[in-house]
Amino acid sequence: MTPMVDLGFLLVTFFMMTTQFAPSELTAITTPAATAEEKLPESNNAVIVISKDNKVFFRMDGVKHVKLLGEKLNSRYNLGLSQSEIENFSHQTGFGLPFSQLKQYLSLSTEQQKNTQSQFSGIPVGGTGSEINELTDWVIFARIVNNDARLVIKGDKATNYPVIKKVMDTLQACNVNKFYLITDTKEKPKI
Amino acid sequence: MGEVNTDNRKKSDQKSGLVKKGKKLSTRVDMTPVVDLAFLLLTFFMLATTFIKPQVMTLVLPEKDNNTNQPKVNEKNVLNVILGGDNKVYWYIGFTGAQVKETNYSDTGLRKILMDETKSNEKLVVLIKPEDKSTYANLVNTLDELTITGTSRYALVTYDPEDKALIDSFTGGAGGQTAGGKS
Repeated sequence: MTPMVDLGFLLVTFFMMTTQFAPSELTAITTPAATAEEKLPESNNAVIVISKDNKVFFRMDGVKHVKLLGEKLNSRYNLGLSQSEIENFSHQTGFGLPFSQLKQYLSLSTEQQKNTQSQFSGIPVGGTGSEINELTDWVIFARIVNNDARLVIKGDKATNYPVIKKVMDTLQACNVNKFYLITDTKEKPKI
Repeated sequence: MGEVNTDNRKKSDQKSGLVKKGKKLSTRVDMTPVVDLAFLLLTFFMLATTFIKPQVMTLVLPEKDNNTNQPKVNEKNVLNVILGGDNKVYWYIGFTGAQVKETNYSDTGLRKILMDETKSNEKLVVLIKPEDKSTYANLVNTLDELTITGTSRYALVTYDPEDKALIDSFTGGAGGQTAGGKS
């Protein structure tokens, strides 16, 4: 019995150390199903989340990288974030606000932040008009702080194509021509 | 069951008889709950680790801003797949005098067409043209069908007014007005 228990605890420790929990999403996303079998590696992902109400969110793996991203964006756009706000930035599960509203959001308490998350307007992705495209900056700076960052699109089934197109165009404009689409599993059909 | 033997004779020998008397009681600890917990945690973490990894589909798009280098294709070798709203798919070959047909995303729909067409024409290039009303699921479905049928020559292009005119004349202009031809 004792050796078995030893082994049991050894495995528990091992899995506890290696497990990375799935980052919680700001909004519920139902990804479309596909037969692709490739798995997404666990780290170095920069995920663009597109909700079914066509809002765009951004999240990045690695607290260290996110913190650096916060510092870069802060100095680039004069967001006026304090050190503690940058710290707060690095612990966010995702971002879905224009840069102009970031400081105000980060100054809120965790509780208040949770309450406002449902009202996120999403990152502006530009459009046909003169609307600015802030996603470009998120993508560019994500690639600066982490050279190995893998761009991933996690879109909801019901997202309208024009938003997807805008995001893909943005990625292409940033010279990211290879990216990943997160899908659900579906059995491979026999042909 | 699992037990820990805490028999430590030498130390207890030095102590009084009272303690000796107590020693006769079993000092074995029942390990069962601990083991249960350990395995519970083990199962939890094992499941949490392996089931997390999301599945992905790789998409490689051509570099932008090289319009000069775009390959020219004979229109007879072009299979246009229009992703419409309400999960509808329209398709036609070539452009001049093209006959628009409607299909769906089922096994016998788009997949069959792709298989038949690629079999009959090796030079076939598939152009995916998603309408503004189509959804992300439609796009992923189409890309998936291309993977399933092993069609490697495809491109994601914009749905332009010419396509819209063709589809409108096919559907009788009913769905065309809200579709919006701008791209």
